[in-house]
Amino acid sequence: MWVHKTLIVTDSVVSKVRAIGEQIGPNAAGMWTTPLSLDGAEPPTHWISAGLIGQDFADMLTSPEALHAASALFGIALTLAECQNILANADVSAKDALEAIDRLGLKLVQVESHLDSLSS
Amino acid sequence: MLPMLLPAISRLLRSPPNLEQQVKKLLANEQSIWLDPADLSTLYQDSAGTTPVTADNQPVGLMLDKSRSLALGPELITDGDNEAALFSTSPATIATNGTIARSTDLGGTACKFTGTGTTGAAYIKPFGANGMTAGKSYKITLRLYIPTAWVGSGIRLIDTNDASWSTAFYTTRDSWLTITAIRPAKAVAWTLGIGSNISEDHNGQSFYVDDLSVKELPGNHAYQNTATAKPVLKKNVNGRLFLEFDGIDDFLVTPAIDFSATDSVTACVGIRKLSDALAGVVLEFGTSFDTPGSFGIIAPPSNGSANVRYRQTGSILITTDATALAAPVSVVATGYGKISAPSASIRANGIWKSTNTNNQGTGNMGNLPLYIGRRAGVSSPFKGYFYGALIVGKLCTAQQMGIMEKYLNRKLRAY
Repeated sequence: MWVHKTLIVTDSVVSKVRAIGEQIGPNAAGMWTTPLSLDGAEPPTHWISAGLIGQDFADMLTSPEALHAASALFGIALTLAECQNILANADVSAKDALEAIDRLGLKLVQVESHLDSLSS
Repeated sequence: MLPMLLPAISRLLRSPPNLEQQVKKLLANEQSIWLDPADLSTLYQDSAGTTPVTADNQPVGLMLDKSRSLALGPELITDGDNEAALFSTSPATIATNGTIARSTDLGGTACKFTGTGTTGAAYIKPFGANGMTAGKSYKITLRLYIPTAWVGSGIRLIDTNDASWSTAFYTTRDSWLTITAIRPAKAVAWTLGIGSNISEDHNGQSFYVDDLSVKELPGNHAYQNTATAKPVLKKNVNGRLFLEFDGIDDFLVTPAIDFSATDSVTACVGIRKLSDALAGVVLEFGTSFDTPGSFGIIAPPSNGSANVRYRQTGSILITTDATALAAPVSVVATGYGKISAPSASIRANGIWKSTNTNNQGTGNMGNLPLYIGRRAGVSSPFKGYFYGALIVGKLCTAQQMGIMEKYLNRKLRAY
């Protein structure tokens, strides 16, 4: 069962949630690689992942208690307070990614060094 | 009756090959890649190729390359009736925390693994350490039986070198499961493991494996592990299938494709570009625009541009654009060039648009991964629909490009 989720987290917790993803497994590893900021310029203030995820993964994100319980099943050492902090710094919705970005007043950050140079 | 039919039969036998056959012939003896999201037999929801895509609105974690006709290589399991013997040829590598025996417990014969440890991994390894060759993709099938008594999380297939690959645990107990998996090529040799790499008490517990088959599946298959980064199979109003890339984080990547024997390439894609707001990489050979021996099709090439770009890099980057293609727009775009000529050109919907003959420097094309939908998997995500791609390591003739474009346009209907 797949469900669409847009998951936006603040830069302050992105290292933590990435690490959790790595521990959950390859399906959740490598998330939150797209930077966001208020004006689209670096440095990023938020990070986004969007797409289809498993219902079990989506269920983890419904409350700090659910995240805490699920993390224990995966052998991830997270306190309830840490789970509360993560979800307080996260925007989880079923909306289209661009709609969620707009709602939060954010823009996609483009890394200048990754943009095409001018035609020669 | 038969004499009356003979002329018709004769005409049929002489009839020209259809487009699919022409594409197949064009790619057959060349380093190439053929991606076709309309062919469900090439799509899997997971990167390990265990769960086929059966309908639209499902994620695509593995898209097989059709350029080698999906033809399997010979059976690599030479003693399929006695897996236990197969596993026991190199005792140091057959198992971790366990023993293997030929068993008739379940009727017939099967390989029985019995754990001996209370902690640590538990898996069996056909072919021994590093038995799977670097640069080759494999299709693996087997039957698995997990008794209720197996106390662990379940059994899965795993690359024991780095604990990657098939993530799903098979947990059904007390019945034979048939498992099929596909492993795209890795850059290094690896070891297939069947078991559990999670530290669990499996002392005295057993599982069984039978009918193991391992065959090479040649081709440059594209995959994505991360759930949210998988493009999604969609169907347009005319019932045609395509991959939707969300312009956020979706992409696929192939193992390195060796185009280093040539300094020429022709790359044709069928896309619908949905936005010109931000630069988006449709496909790119290598991790950046200035990687030596690379090429790419970018749509749009820069923020707010209404263009589609082909770029090619020997040791120097050059680019060439098809203009006046403002989003939303459907286009079959063909980029082609030769480093030593030098030249880089682009056609849109079967019509030549521009050529750049500036110096590309020196060298051949590279031996690099192909990214589809995002630069190096980290930036410039493409927002749009992907109807397929054909890439061949040579400079195609106009007639050959016409075949590629016509084939992709049948799927996209851009013109």
